[in-house]
Amino acid sequence: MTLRIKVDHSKCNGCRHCEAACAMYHMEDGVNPHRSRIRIIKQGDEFFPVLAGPYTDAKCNVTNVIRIGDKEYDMCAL
Amino acid sequence: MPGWIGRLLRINLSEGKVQVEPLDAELRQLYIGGRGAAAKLLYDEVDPHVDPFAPENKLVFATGPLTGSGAITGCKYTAACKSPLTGGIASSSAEGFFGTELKHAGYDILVLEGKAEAPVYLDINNGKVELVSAGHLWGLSTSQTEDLIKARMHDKWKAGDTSIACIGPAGEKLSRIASIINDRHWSASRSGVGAVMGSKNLKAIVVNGTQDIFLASGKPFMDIVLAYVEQCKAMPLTSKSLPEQGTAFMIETMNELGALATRNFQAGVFDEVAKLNGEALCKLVVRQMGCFSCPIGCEHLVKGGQSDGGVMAPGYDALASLGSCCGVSDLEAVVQANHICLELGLDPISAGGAISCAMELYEKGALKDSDAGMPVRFGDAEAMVKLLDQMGRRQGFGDALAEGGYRLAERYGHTELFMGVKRQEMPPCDPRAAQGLGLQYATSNNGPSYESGDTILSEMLGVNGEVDPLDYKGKASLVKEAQDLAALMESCGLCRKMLMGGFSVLEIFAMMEMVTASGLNDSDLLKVGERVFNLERLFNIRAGLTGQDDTLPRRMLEEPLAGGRAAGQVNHLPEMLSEYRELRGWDEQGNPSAQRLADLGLADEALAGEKK
Repeated sequence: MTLRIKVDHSKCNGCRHCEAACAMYHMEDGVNPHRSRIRIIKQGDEFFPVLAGPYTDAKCNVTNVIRIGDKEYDMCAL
Repeated sequence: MPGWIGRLLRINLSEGKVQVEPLDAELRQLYIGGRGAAAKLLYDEVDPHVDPFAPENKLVFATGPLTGSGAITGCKYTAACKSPLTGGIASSSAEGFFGTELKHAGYDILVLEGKAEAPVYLDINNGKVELVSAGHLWGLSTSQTEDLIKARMHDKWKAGDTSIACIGPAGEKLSRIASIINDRHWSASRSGVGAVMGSKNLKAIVVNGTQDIFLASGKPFMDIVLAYVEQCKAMPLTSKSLPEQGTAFMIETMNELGALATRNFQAGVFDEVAKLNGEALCKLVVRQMGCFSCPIGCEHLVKGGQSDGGVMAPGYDALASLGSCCGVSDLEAVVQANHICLELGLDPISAGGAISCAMELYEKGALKDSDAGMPVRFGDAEAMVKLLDQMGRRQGFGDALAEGGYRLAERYGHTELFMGVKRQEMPPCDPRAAQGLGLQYATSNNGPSYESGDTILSEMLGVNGEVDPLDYKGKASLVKEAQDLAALMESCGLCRKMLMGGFSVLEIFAMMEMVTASGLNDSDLLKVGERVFNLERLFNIRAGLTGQDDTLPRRMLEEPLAGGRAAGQVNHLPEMLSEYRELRGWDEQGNPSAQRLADLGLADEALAGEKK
C-alpha cells in the first residue's frame, strides 16, 4: 500500500521535526535534516513543506514513479 | 561519542587564530555540555576579577548533546561569559535553530577570546572557519544584519539553511543589558551577554553545515520521542495554552494570583490586564512558530511593530515587563517595544525594569524633566517606546538607561527603587506572591531569571500537583530541585517549557541514554545539575559576590503587597534561606562546604578557589 501525506502548509509552524524524523528513520544511527527528503522552505512568514528533488543528499533511495500521460518518470530524472 | 559532535572551536579574535580541540571526555561526563560545559570552561579559563569588557573575558557558545538530536524541545544553546551587569557568571540560553545548525556546522562549543581590531563576523561553514570584516554591518539592526549577510550569499538555498546569531546597536555600544539575537526572533537575552560580544568587536556568527549528529540507539529513540510528542498533545498547557497564546497565557493567571508585577512592583494586580492578555494577543496573531524539533510551538508572529511582515509576539516576560510593570496597557505599543528590543538587541525584561525604575524615580521627584528630556510617567506608552529606542542607541537619557536599572537608580540616589537582585532586573513575577520564587531569585547565580529554576510551574501553574505559593515552608527543597533540574536541562540542550507537559528527569534520562549511551542514570543527571550550580557559585564567590548578595529588594521584604490574592504579603526570604543553605551544604555566608564540593567531584576546584 502506498501512503501519501497531504500537506496543508498553513498548519506548518516551521519546527522541522518532520525533517529530523525523516532523516532519523532512514539513517537509523543518526539525525541530520540535510539528509531528509522532506524539506521546509521559509518564504517571508510562511513555511512550505516540500519534497526535496533528485540532487539532495538524502539518505533514502525512494524513487517515486510519476506517470504523466503514457510516460513514466522517476524522481531521479524528473 | 554519539550525541556530541566532539569538537570545540577556539577563536582568538585578537590574533585571528583558530584552533580545534577535541571535546574532553571528563567534561562530557561531568558537565554534559551547554550551560554546564560553559561554566566549567569559564571557571578554568577566565580570571574572575577581569573587567567584563576586557579582551581577557571569554564568550562561550555551548550546545548540549540533545541539541539538534531530534529530542523534543532539543534546540537550545547557552551563551556564557563574565557578566557586565552582575559581575558574576552570565549564562543565558536561547531557542530557535542556531544551536542545531552550529552542531551541523561541526562544533559543539565555541570559545571566543580576545578582541578583534575592527568589527568582524565569524563564518562557520561545514567546519571551515573564517573571520570576515563587518564594517558594513556595524550599526545595523539585527534583522538588517541577517538580511545583508544572507543577500551576499550566492547560493540562495544555502542562505535559507543558514543560521545567524548577532548583536544590534545596543551590544555594539556596550549596553549592560544587551542581548544576542539568533534567527531573527529568538534571543539569549539576560545578564548582558550581547555587550560582551560587542566588546569583542564581533557583530555576528554565521553557521551552516550538513554534518551528521550520531545517535546511540536511533530506532528506540524515535519511538520514545513519538510517545513524548503524544504526551505533549495530551497535556493542557502544551496542547492548548502555549500553542494558542504562547507564554502570554500566564498573564491572567499571574494577575489572579496577585503576582503580576505592576508599576515597578508597587502592586501585584493590573486593572487593565484584559487589554494585554493572551486572548488580546491572539487577535493579532499571523502565524504560529516553533523552534527546532519542538512539538509545542509556543512562538507566534503578530501584526504590528510598524513592520510589513509579522513580528515576534511578546511572551509573558516582555508583555509584563514592558506592559504592566511600566503601567502600559496599550498592546500595540508593547508589541512594538518588544520588536525594538529584538531589532536593537536589548533584553526586554531588563529594559522594561530600567524604564519602570525611571518612571518611579520621576514620579517620586528624583528624576526631573530636564534629566529625562520628557515626562516619564507610568502608563505613558509613547514615552516607553521612545526611551527604549534611545536606550538601544545610547542617545540622550537612553545613555543612562542602557547601564541597567541598578546603575540608573544609583545615579539618582535611590537604589531602593531598583527591583532586582545582583544588579539584574527581576522577571515580572512578584516574589511576595510566590515565596519560593523569591528564594530562587535571591540565590540564582545568573541574577534573577527563570533560567535558574522553574518554581513557578509548581507554585503558580499547578504542574505536578498544587503547591500553595504563599506558604514559605518547605520551599527550600522545591527551589533546590528546580534549580538543579534547570541547570541539567540547559546543559543537555533542552527547553524548559518541556516541563509544562508534565515531564520530569526520567524522560530526560531516557532521551539522554538513547542519544549518548553515557550511562548516567537519573540521579547522576540531577547531580550534574547540582555540580553545575555549585561551580557557577564558586565562580561568583571568586568574583567577589557573597552571601550578602543573596537577597531581594527591600520592597519585597518589608512593604506588604497592595491588593489582589496576595495582599499584605511580604517575602519570607530569611526564614527560607537558612533551610536552603543547609540543604545545599553551604555555610551561613553562602559558601559551599568542602565536604559537599568533594561529594560533587569539585574538590580540586574548591582548593583552587582557596589559592586564588
